[in-house]
Amino acid sequence: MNQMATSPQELLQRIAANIEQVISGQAAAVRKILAAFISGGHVLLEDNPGTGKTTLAKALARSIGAEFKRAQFTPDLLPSDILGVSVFNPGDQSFHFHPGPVFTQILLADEINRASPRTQSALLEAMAEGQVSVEGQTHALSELFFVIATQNPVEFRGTYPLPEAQMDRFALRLSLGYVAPEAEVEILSAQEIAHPLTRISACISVPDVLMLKQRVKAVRASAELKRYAVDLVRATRGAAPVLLGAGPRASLALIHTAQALALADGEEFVRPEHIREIAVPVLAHRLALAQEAKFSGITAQGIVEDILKTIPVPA
Amino acid sequence: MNTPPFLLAAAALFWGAQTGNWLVAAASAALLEAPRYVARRWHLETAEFIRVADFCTVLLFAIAVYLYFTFGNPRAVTLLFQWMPVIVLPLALAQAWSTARALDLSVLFWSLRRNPMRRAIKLNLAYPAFALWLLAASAANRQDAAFYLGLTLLTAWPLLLARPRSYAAPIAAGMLLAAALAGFGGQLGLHRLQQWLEAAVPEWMAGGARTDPYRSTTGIGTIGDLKLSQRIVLRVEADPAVSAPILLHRASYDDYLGGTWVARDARFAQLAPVGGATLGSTSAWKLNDTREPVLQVTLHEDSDGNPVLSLPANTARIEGLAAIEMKMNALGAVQIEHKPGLFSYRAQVGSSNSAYGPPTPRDLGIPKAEAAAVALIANELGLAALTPAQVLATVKQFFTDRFEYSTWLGKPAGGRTPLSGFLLATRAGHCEYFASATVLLLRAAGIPARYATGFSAQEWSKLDHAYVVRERHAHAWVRAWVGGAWRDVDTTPPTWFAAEAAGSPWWSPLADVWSWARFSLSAWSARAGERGWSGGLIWVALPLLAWLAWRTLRGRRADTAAATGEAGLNRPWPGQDSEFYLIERRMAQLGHPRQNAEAVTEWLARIAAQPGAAALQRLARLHYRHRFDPAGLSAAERETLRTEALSWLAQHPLKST
Repeated sequence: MNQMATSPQELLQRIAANIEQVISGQAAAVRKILAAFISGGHVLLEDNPGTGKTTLAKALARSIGAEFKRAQFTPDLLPSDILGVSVFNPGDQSFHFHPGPVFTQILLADEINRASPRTQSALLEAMAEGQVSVEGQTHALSELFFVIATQNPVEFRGTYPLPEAQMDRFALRLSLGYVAPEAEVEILSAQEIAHPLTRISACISVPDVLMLKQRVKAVRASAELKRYAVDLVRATRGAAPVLLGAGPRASLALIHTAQALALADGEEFVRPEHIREIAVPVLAHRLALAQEAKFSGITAQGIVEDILKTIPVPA
Repeated sequence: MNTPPFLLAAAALFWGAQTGNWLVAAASAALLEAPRYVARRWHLETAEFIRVADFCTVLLFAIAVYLYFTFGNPRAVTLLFQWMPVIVLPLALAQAWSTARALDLSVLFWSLRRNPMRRAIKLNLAYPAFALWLLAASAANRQDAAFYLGLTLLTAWPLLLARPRSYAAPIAAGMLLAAALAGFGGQLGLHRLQQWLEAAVPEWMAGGARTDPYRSTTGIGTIGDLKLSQRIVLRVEADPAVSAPILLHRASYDDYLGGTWVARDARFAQLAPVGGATLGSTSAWKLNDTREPVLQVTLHEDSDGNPVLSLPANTARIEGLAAIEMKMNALGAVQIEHKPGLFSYRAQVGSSNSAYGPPTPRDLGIPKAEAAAVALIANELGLAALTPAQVLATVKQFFTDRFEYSTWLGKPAGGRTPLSGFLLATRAGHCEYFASATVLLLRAAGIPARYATGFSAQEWSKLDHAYVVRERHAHAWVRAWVGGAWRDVDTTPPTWFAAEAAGSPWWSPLADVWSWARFSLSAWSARAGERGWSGGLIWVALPLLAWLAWRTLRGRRADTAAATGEAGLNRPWPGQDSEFYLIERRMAQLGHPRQNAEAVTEWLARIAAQPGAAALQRLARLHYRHRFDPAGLSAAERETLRTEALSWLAQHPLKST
């Protein structure tokens, strides 16, 4: 494989095609997840049980020849189960740090909202700063560190809603939704012999991914579009039933993922459409709504969509 | 405007048909619908809409004051309601001609301007304006089926268009028709019910100072305090030779039936203006043949429509009155056809009153119920032996000496009628008692007499420089046939006037000043109208309105590139010179504008089927690079964008051939 001759657009298309073998009909979601991945953001997949969240996360991990670990979050999971623990070695009479599953390149945090808030928060430092502090020692994480978490909607039994600070660490929140009936029949047929997940293999290498991450940063974003992104984010702060709007971290995520989308489109600069495409997944999960708004059927997604319809688009 | 095309115009024209203001309606309809065909828009912010709304509010108050002083209530309220859509038309037009598709609610509510809602609510004025035109059309109060038909059609139109998809048009139309027919039937039924009620309980419908020339129901026999209002109904400027009190006659009656005076066979005869007259202009009417009118009384009267005139005795001519028609009955009541509100006339008083008919046998009739008491008093006074002049003097003396004025009356004792009780026992009552008793006593003495009603003018107002006549100055007296002519005889003790005035409330002077102000303005407006100033107040109002309009639109240049929305306005971003904007504007003129919150590629995808849209993809890419790529276009590419955009424009002219 001649990497130098392959454009970022082709690389990304290759990953997407690989994932498509396993999970069909989710091209738009895959495109956004890849954008988050190469722009250095983490992804939260929120949907009903059985919609393919975990399969998608695993397919992504396998498509990239990266180190992959999964942690199944349960109510009795402790922070040390995620981060690692120092164990006393009687041989040399000293403590040795045993790294937890967070020390990997791609971490699948499955059903993250079933763990207690304490354990959920253990990921805060890792996700935001790419390092882990245990017992006064700071351990750096891989350059590629990427968390893809799944969760059932918070109204389900045995869940703890993620703290707002933790939510803010995710660049995107996506819902997969149920696929069309034809696609669902295809899923049945595809799994008759073996799960397609077992068939796929890595199609790009870690250096490719690092190259993509570099190229994302090179995508140009004009001051006007930065302003547009900021206008969208600021508008969430003044919307009526919103208790807590999106912060500056959201503006950053919005521009970074838009740059990644531009790269995926083979563009050298961000277009307003990229920002609009990614606005709902980037902004909606960061808004805390008043209780009465939830009862009257107003959703965070609806608020962001309204904002997109009211703020004039640069053209 | 989110109403279906021409719905607003139809509503405005319907209003014009109902109110008769065709020109205003046609102009409003054209202005409201024209934006569908004209691309030019103003870019107005909420602050500007607020100014337009304030302008409408000022207009509303100015017109309300003008209408109140010109027509009085309740006519002013009806007229204001009728003109409401025209008053708020500036706001509706501001929305129709602006780039905004809806207004912030704070434009309409002052409370929201100070405490804005966390999430602003937008209101499109189109349907509210539509409803206002229909409601205002109803204020014209044409009670005919055409109104109902028009209203039904106009409301059915948007309802049918907005019906749920699950209803087929014929079913929805059928249901609307059924509702309309049921509504019409119900409305007819209500009308019948009202007519029946009015016939069954007439006293519920009796109005304040209105005079019924056929019948006068007196307060005789009513127990308790007689209350009448302070309202000024007449202003009387009299020749100095006319001494107060001036009895202003409205109607006379000749038959008494247990508390009610009735005018029998008093049919009205039409009077022709002297020398003919054109409709609506002031003219003179001659009531009798007196050669030389000797005195003049000018009256300014306030009425609620088709009044019976208040005239001094022996009125020979009525001048300066803009009535449509005038008629008079044999008992001297003069009624005119005139719209409600203030009107003026001059009464020329002569020396005789040949116009009123000579006495009839009814002018000597005494009802059986009162005959015994009347005969008793007539005998006591020995009236049979006296000359008519002596009879008048004796009767007047009798009432002055032995009776007193009272507006409070108890129950008559001993099974007597109230009038017999007044003559024989209580000897206290109000003017209706005195007048009725006097009529019957004079008739017992063989003198034909009638019961006359009207007003007694004797309160001089320094403010008005005239006598003012209030509702409580309503009076009753006697017209007696003495010496071949009718003479006014008033036997009520003169103290009645002071007794009535004693009951004035403390705020009465304030009400008088208000009444005077209203009268003065109305009189000034009428004089201005006579001088051809057409409306008078208009000349004060016009500069004021012009100033307000200028203040609203000041500094607002016409934004011809309306369809580009906010882009290109006051933003220092690069690439604003792109020729792609010309294409966008041309597309908007061709009816495919880009929405404000629609990115260019989304817009192009939406209009992909339109001619010329396919060719725009490449141009849009160049435009985007010019606008959003910090690296920008090379000089050659910039030139390509320019030339290709211009050639596209040349290929897609505004008027397709």
